[in-house]
Amino acid sequence: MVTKRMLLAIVLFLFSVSLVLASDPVAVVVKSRGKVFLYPQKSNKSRLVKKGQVLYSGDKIRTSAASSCAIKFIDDKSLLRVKESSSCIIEGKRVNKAINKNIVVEVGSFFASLFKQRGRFTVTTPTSVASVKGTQFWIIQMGDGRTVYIGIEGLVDLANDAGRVLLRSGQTAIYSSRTQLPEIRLTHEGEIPPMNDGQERLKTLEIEFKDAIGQKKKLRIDYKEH
Amino acid sequence: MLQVKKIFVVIFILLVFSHLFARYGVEIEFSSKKLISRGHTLPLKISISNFSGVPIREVQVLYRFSGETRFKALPMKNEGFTYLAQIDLPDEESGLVEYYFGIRYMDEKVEYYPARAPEMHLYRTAYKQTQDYSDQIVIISPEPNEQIFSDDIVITASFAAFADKVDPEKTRLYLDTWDISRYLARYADFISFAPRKVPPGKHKIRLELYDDAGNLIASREWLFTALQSRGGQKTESMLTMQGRLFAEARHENLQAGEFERDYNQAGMQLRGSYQMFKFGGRVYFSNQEKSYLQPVNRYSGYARMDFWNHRYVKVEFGDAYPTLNPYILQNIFVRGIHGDLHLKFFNMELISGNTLRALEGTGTIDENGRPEVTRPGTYRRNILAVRPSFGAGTNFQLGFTFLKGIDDTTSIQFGTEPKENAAAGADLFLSLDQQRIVFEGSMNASSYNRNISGGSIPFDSIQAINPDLDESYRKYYDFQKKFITVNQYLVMIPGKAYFARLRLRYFNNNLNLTYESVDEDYHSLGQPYLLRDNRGFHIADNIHLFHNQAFLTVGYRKYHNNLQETKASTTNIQSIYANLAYYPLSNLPEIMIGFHSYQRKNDIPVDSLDSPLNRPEDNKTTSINFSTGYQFGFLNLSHRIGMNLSNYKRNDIFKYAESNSNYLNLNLRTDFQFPLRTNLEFVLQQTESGKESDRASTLDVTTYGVSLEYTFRELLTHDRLVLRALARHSQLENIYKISQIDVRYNRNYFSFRLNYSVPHFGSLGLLADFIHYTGDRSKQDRIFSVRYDLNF
Repeated sequence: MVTKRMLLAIVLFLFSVSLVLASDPVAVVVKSRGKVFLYPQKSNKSRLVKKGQVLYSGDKIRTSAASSCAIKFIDDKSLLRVKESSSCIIEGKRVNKAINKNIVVEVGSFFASLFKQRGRFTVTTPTSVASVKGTQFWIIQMGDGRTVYIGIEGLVDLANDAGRVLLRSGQTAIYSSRTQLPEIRLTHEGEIPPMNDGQERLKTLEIEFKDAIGQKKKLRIDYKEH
Repeated sequence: MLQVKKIFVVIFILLVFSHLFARYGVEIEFSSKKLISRGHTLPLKISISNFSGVPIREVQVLYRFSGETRFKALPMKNEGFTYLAQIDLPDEESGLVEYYFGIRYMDEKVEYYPARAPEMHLYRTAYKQTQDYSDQIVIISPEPNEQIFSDDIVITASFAAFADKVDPEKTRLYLDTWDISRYLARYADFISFAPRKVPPGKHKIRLELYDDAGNLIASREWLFTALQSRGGQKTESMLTMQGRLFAEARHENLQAGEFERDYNQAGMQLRGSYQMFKFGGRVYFSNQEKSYLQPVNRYSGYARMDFWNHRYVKVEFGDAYPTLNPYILQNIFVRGIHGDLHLKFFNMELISGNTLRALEGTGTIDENGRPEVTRPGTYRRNILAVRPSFGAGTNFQLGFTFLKGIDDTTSIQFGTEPKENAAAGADLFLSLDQQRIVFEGSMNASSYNRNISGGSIPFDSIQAINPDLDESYRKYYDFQKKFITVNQYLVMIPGKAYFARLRLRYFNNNLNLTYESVDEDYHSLGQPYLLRDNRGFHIADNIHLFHNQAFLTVGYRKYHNNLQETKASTTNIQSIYANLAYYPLSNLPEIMIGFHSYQRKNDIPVDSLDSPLNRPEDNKTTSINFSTGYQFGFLNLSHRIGMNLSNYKRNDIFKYAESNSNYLNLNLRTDFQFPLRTNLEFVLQQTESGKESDRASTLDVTTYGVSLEYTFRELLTHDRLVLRALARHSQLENIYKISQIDVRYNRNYFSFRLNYSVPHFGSLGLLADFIHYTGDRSKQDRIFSVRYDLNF
């Protein structure tokens, strides 16, 4: 009788522990090329990532050479492309019905695309923190410690110990350290990394015009090249 | 005297138990839901314990929606003691569905449940559309209309905004027509599925989300295009095939081994498409198929070619349940060929086949070479039906239906009364103002000869047999001779059936006005379930109130028979009904209150002793029911509690036929945080019959039930194991005043289910049902089943 009770208590305890320790899923890998590895939270053991892999807060993604993956967050479809030879940690915290997202960049190139965003989206690098809202931009963490941001669309709020700057589309910001403001300039031709994952590059054509009452309007056409 | 008393008691047992037992030795259990928040379907489950010795061939549910007069038949699927079906609900936001069950046995006898349905008793369920959360589904991947490589596809969608209302276990996902729900990775607020590869071409995804009660609360459909190879080359649509197959073996051991039977069945269904062509087929085999019975096996195949804008031509061969005009061809099994040309401005349907297989009877041949029948067989019955129509049927359609049915007198040697029938009708459908005004109507006539064995004879010969036919009937003879065998068995004046219905949907009302008449002499061999000698009208209104939180249905029906005034008396039937259902938007209990009064009366005096066939009739059955349901959380568990309370009261000029019945059902369903679901049930039924007569009796039934369901996931790979157990204990007591007999017994029912499924390999199910009687009745019944299903 005592043995049975102890067994029941252990089973119940394990259930409750599993419920407490389990974190919520926050994103899904929608594309994977080459060798992409997943390091679950607080684990040194990695496994190969395939499309459809569900990611939990705290999971780390690492891509090898000639490898990449695309991740979408489940609350608002925010897209994060992880390019070759890159690694980052995906963090997400559920608040109400949205997920506050934070990408902890270790090294490599990343492309973020956000539309109809829910919850906060921040990117944390060794030199800075970027907060974004409804935008597309690149994050390149160089091996020498510099962080490069390239604005494609919308605004990116960049901050570090030295202060805050706003990055616009068509601009590049380069951080050398945590305690210095970035160098900001126009993006050079060829500076934007290629997608190189077999997917067509997304391009945007913007046409500015005035309507009948003289108000400025912008027509944006997104298209893909074959 | 004692022998007479015993016979009396047996008769009483049969009469009183009619609401529990249909045929003697058959016990039926069914608990109707009084109200549901609408999904697409109303699921029905009925348990039939059959120890009559005659196997059941088929169980059907016959149903109609508020405002309709005709019932549609739907075959039910069999699992052990249980029969299952789902009624597709119409697009209206709310309404009422009435239904009853038809049980056909292998000896071709048919019984209905509840007894005396549909004239007197029917089940009713109110339905209402739940709040639709479809626009809050977030499509993660693939994006609508996205072009994506066929091996890159991941289907993911989230529903965080209303995740607390969703039961992930009930989520359904379809890729084109392929149900891929079993392969889903299910989470609290999203689903995901990553197929290895999807055939190149355009595809459709449909996601359906359900709540705990099984109501559909959100659905989304979107398209995407799968590209064959990297580089963006889009290929033409290739051949696609889907299907399912199943095999089942069932062993029944009834009455402790007195009846032991094995049932084995298997079937396969295939659907395919290639460019503009669609095709498919279905086969079903059963070891109950016998050459001396009507067919049980089913075979069918079809091919269809689609033209532009939903126009098509289709040919189907084999077994089908076609519907043309509901008064001419409906609810009947036809083995033959079915052609359908749909061009919208002009359409044509043609059906040719047989509805009955020839089954030889027994007899001898006399000295003149004529057969003398001992036991009549069944003639092969052939029918040919055609329906040309004009109009697509969306806003307008005018159709003309012709049917010829005839028993093939050469198909068997020993048979009696071969029949022949010709029927024709015209039907009209017209809708205006976005289907807010709908008019439907049809006019039909039929010629029916109940015995064509001697062939046609001259009109003078008919007159000699039946002197009541004067020369004025010759014109009917001359007209019908063109279509049908004319002899003394032909009803000389064709029977008529007509129907008209007007539906108006304005100001939150859905008003239906129906008028219908079917002569006693109207027959169609393609419509076996038509209620003849019946005329009357039906008015019903369905009203939405309080921003669609409540709806009210009221109706009135008045019919009478004896249209040709050939009967000794006319029976008048009228019924009044009203239902109020309340579905609050906030978290309050759902409530339904229903009232129904049904009255039958003829003009034969109460004290008449004219004839046993012409007995006086004056009775009224009144029913009141109340239902409520409420979902709540307690101790971190999700619960749903429900209660049904009903009272049926019958007043009759014959006191022994009066009865008063009360019914109470309480149930509690609980969902735990781990994948366990439990259900507790309590049912109390008390019936008192013939209270003021010397045939008084009472019947009390008390039932306690508990069920458990547990789901194991990913035991090995992506597999799933579901275990279900059900136990139900009933105590029955039946007391007869006249004979002082007190029958008491207990009925214990146990049911176990195990279902193990692995993606791509199908699912295996094991079922075991036990019924054990103790007390004044002592019997044991056992049914074991093994079933395998595969979708591909």
